[in-house]
Amino acid sequence: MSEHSGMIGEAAGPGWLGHAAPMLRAALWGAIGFLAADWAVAAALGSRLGAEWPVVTGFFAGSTGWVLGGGALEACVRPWFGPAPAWDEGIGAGRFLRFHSDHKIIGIQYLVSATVTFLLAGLAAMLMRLELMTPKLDVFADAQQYNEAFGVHGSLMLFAVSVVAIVGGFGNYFVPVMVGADDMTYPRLNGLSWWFLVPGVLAILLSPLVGGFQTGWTGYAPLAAQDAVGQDLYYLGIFALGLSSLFTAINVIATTLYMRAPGLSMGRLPMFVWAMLVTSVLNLIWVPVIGTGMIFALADRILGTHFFDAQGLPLLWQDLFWLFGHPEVYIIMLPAWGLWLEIIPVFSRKRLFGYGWAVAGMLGVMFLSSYVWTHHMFTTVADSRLVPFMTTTELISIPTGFMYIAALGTLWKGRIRLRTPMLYVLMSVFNFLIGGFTGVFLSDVPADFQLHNTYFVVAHFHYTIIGGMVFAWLAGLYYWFPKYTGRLYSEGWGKLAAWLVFLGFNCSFLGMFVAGFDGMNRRVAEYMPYLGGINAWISVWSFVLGLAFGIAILNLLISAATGKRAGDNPWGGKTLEWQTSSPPPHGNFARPPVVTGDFYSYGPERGVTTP
Amino acid sequence: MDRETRNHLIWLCLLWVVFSAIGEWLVQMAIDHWPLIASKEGAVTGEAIFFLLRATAPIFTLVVLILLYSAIRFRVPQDDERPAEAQFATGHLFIAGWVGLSVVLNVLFIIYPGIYGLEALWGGAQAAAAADPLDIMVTAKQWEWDFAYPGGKVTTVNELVVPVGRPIRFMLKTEDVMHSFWVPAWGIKKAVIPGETRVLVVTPTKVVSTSADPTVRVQCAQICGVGHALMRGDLRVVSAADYQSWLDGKTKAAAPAMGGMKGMNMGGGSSGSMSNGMTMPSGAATMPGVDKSGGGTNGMGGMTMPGASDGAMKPGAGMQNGTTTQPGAGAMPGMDMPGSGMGGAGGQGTTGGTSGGMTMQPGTGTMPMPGASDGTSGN
Repeated sequence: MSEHSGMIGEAAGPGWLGHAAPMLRAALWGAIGFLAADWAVAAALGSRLGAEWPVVTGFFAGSTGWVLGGGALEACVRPWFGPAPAWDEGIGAGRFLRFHSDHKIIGIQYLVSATVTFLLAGLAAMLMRLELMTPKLDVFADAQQYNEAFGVHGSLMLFAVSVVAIVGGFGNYFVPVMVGADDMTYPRLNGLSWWFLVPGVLAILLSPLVGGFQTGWTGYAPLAAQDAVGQDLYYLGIFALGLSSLFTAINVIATTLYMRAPGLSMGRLPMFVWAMLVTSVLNLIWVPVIGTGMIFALADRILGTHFFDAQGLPLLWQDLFWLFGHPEVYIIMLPAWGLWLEIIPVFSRKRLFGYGWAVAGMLGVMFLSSYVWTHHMFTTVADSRLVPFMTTTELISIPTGFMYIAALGTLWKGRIRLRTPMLYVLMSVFNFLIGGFTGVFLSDVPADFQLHNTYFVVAHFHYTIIGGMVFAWLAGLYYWFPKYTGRLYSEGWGKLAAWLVFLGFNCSFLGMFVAGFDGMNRRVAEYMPYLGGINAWISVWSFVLGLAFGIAILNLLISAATGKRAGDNPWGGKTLEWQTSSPPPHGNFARPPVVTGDFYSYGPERGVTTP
Repeated sequence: MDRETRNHLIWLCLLWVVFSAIGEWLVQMAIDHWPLIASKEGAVTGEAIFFLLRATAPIFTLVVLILLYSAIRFRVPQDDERPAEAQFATGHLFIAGWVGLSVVLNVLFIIYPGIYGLEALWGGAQAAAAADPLDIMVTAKQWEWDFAYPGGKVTTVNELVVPVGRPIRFMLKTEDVMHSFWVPAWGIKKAVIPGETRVLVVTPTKVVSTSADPTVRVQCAQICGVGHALMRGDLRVVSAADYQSWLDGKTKAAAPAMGGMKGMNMGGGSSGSMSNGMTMPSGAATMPGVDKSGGGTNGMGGMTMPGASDGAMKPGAGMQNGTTTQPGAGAMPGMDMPGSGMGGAGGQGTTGGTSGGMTMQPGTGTMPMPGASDGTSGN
């Protein structure tokens, strides 16, 4: 197939400038939009360029310029006025650098941007750990800079990496292929989604230029009202990232429900697609809630309303934030579970155990996750809310356990091949177990009274998000690498990096539990000297972790350029994406597939799908 | 069940017993070396943590063992693509056991230590209310802790002295943003919410102090701005007699201070007029690195700094409680002036040490503070 142009473009054709022209135009229009609006409003109001209204207006104009410049003008806006869409979707590497409606291109765009954002936000974490090597302030100029660093780190990691890396990346790329469709239901809406992601990331990343925000990723009021203009960019950035997630959610739900291949009943749906569907339902319901919160909070700052200050209800912000914020935790983790249960059968050469239980577990988590948010607020809410939310929070461990039933049941008596993706999955299963069990401590109100806002919490949610989701994401990156690049990765480097990531991660974050027990509160640049030893330990291992992530990603990049050709189905997978070429052609399948059995049979009746 | 499966299960059980024992031993080691727990409430929350550690250790061990046992025992070379012999898709005993156990454990954990622990805490608070508790007013503000003691004479800043063995009822208020009152060694924390008064009852059980054990300290546990990390106060838990003599000494020192400036250690000279016997360090001491220019300001007129609006316009801050030791009307005009001075000089980013201190005086809370609004709207 001539579709192998994959990641690194061939030099033939339009040349570099031609390939990159749409994205350059987008950047130019975005910059012009921002600067023009910023300058105009500042001039009209007689304020500084970095003041509130100029920056807010500039963000809207700049984002619009960026999205239109990338190609939305010709592809989406033009048809409103009559003419047919006129947009060249490019060839080779140029396809990734412009507005594109092919879900596979968009998936790669998401994967690349999530990886870049992951590394940038990770760099912020490295700086924070460097600061925390010693009890005193010595790396950052002041505490404000440190606060901005963890705000940028947390906001980007949560809103631009965790919730989009798997959903936006693999969800876009693989949901249509795995259900046997030629594309998403709404390809142009899908194309738009990634273009809204970038302004969101940039707003948060660049917020320190206008004073940053010191509230962390949770943006608690009324501290947020004291912040510089960076706080406005936090609201706007998260709003834009939310839009991006919403567009993807609409597409995933519609595609899964209405574009499945003949014979692919819901009862045969691959686990990863189930996970994407459930996650998207959560996104569709809860992203608007936090979007609303962001708008209200922005109004508090620029319109002088009083939703969340002491004249309004400071706790209302927390309710709105966590109403989204806790389902978000499962928006992060459900896709990871989908990857576990997709990868484990393939590398155990054995039927998926307890398919129905796993699906029920996902649905149970989806349902219950909407009823647990107050556990983030046990030390702030009235006593009357404690017991109900402690109960729901503890109960969610039951459907979560169903994932372990399926994972462990499939592993038992399988023929386990410990290739890099499988290694990452098993590590993820292990890490998330620690994340889950420490979650029991935090769901228990008396224990939470002591542990809330300590490093115990920091360790806990990093165990779920890095340990659970990022490990699973890496598993997916390696598992599907042959499919989306057409090449094989280096197994030796892959495994070495996996073990290093595992070692660095566990050594550093287990230390954080100890720091939490010892009375270290979170979001501090300085701490009392008695905590110095444990923090130095955490920091050193976190640098190992950072290095290991670098090796893991570098291995993928080098392999993408130099790896051996993979063939269509190097792992012997059964799901539909392995029944087409690597990478799949435009439209995904030469002939529309028909599904005649389930995807997880490895017995004598193997080969039940006929593409 | 075939013989092979039985052997697997026997091995798994043996390993589980061994590793669970090791796990419990490790947990016990950790509990033996646990940081200080120095209050009745901390005993409750600590016991909850200990119980969960003990109870989850064997379950955690079991799941990890199944995972590792499978990965090691059922491993094949990575190129071996043959399907596994066993192709079962369900196992009723395993699933029923898992679901049953997780339901039982959940119910257990909700009841104990969950509801049981809450009952202990709430019951303790109720009993304390009936048993002559010591009421201490706590005012959190950026970035210090103010404590007002019963009797209306003694106020301390970033220094808390309490008697051992007697329930203490902390009335928690904030003048600006949200904070959280936490003494790690007391094992409990409570958020301080703008516009509200929260009550936390603690009964210290050990005579300790910050200098002896750094987990015995008042620490803000909710990000509240640049001074958050250092928003902490020294805590001394002393005997009832020592507490009384400390209080008497402070009360005596407070009286002459009304006239002159004795008994104070205020940093800013300009704050002399509001001397009220407080041992208040200057604002600068508790505000590290507040030098960002532009931060904390809002470009548009009419925007509010919570320090000004939430603290100043809302009732409930500062003077409401009646136990702070305000010197009276005579000193009030004196407080007004540095306040307005701050509007001009330090309004943007609160750079000046003394002006920073000014906004933090209890008692300015109920005053409109014209200077503050000047400061925020001017830029």
